[in-house]
Amino acid sequence: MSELLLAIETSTRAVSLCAARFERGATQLLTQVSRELPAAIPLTSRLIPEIQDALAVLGHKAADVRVAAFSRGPGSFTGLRAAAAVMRMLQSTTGCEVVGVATFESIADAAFEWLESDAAPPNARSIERVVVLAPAKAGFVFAAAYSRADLSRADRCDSDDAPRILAIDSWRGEFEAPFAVVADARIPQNPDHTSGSRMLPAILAIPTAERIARLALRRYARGATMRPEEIVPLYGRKPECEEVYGARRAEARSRRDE
Amino acid sequence: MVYLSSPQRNRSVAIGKSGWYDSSMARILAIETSCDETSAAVVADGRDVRSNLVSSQVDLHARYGGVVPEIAARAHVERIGPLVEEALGAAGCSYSDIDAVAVTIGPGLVGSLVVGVMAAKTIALVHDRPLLAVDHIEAHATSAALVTDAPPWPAVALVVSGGHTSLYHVRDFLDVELLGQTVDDAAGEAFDKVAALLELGFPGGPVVDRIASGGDARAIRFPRTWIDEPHDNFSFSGLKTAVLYHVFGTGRKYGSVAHLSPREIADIAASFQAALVETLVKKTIRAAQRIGVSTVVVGGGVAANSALRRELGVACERASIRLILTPMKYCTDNAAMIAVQGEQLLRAGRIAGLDVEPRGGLRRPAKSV
Repeated sequence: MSELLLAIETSTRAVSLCAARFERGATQLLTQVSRELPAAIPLTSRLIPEIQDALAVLGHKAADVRVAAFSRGPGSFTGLRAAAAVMRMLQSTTGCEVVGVATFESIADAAFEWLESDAAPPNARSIERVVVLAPAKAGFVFAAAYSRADLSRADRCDSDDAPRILAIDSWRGEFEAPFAVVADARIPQNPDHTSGSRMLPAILAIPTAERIARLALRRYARGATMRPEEIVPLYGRKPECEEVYGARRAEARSRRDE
Repeated sequence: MVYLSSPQRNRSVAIGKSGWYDSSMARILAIETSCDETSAAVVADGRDVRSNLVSSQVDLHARYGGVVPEIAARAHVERIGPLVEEALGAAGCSYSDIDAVAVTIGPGLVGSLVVGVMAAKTIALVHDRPLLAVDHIEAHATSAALVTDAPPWPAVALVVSGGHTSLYHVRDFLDVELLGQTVDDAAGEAFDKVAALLELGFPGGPVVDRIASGGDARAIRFPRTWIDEPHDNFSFSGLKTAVLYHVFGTGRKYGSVAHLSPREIADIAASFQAALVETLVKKTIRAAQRIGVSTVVVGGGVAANSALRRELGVACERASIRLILTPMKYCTDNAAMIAVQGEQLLRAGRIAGLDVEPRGGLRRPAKSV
């Protein structure tokens, strides 16, 4: 008997969701319904009604969800927190399993799939390493590197793979060449930033709930689900900011314990 | 579930899978995340508070001398799930025992509101329960009803906290008219900022109250902005700046308080508090007299201030006005008051759609300056 998976992607303005059936133990989705939310309407308004509608198309209700998956970031803080709140309460109310997928990992997965497709130039198929870039404002980018071998394991640990924030002028030096680059279209196309690298189509940098669903199912099949306290976004801020927040939180907790 | 109005009994009833139920017996799960307190409560029958849990973030924000919106939103994400489960457990019920879900829809910090609203929507979706979108300040204005034998309306309500300073004419739970509000700093915000510049710590309200008790409230004559103006709006930024210039020197925004003795600091705190309290009291009494109501209710975190409680008591007695001070546990941000107001929305059949959005901004007063 098939079970129900719900995936949401809220890390960019291109918010989407995917409801799909799957067989227990399988790594392939069966029937699925995907929705893209209009960018002009706030996701806080449309996300829940669209989830309800998509599940209804499959003949289900939210209470039937067995696996809930979300894109953990980095990306829009509001979008990520909205998704995390939905995931937490889905888990609490239905007892479903929750799977988090790093947004950049899903983008890298899309990039490797494209490299293996007929759309890619023949000489690009040997590329083994992809760097994902997204804007982080004020002259910085979020950056993370993924290798084909890493992704095929499908058991990457999100929290250890949080993308770094690097200066837009110097990110290249942080990664071992050769690699292809998949960059958000909002990153200025300065040849100095990307020279010597193969640029993949920018559309690959738009994460989708459908891909989150596929990656989440693989992860779920391996038992890589999240405990309630782990259901938080990957914010992707400068390390010093995260250290400050971590220190404050630890301090507050110890004061409360006293 | 379909909601119908039942004129015979003047209340709404719901038709669920299990049949009809009387909404006046409803058990409401409420969530409040408008600022820096994560709160969840279960309230039955609009008055029976089965649980009311508040997870404060004061420790997280203390070092900054005020609430940091980003930190507040993060903490809400981390705390919302366990807190809701704990509130249900403390009330001895489960999600399926809940008849409706109420949530603060605004005003407040948008990043914080989003967490509570999305959580509430998810519960409503999964359990097919009505969603009730509650105005945070209206809930403060009507929270006094939690402890009165009968609804105390009509009344003038003063809601005074770190985020809001507003006067309402409350005719009934859902008939609340905003008379006026602060056009800049909230009273609690002014307390926090003055406490910060006097290096007294955070939150500012309790510490200024304590230090002021040892000072002379007549030592410095700080401004009482708009105290004699006929409108009901407030402004505290001038008062805050007057304290700033008094401490650091005219035109100077930064400095040290090392040159001030503890006695001088106490006098400044007492004089600042006196100016703020006098403004709140005088405008509240005048609004009640102008409208012709004989009851004043006070809610919000600053209602804990001892000088405000004392001076309002004196002024109300002199004006033959009944004063209802909301108990402290319902003065600070809490979900029980959201449930109370939510219950009224349920009775009125005012169910929110799952597409309802959080709103951060304040409503404008009916009569602007």
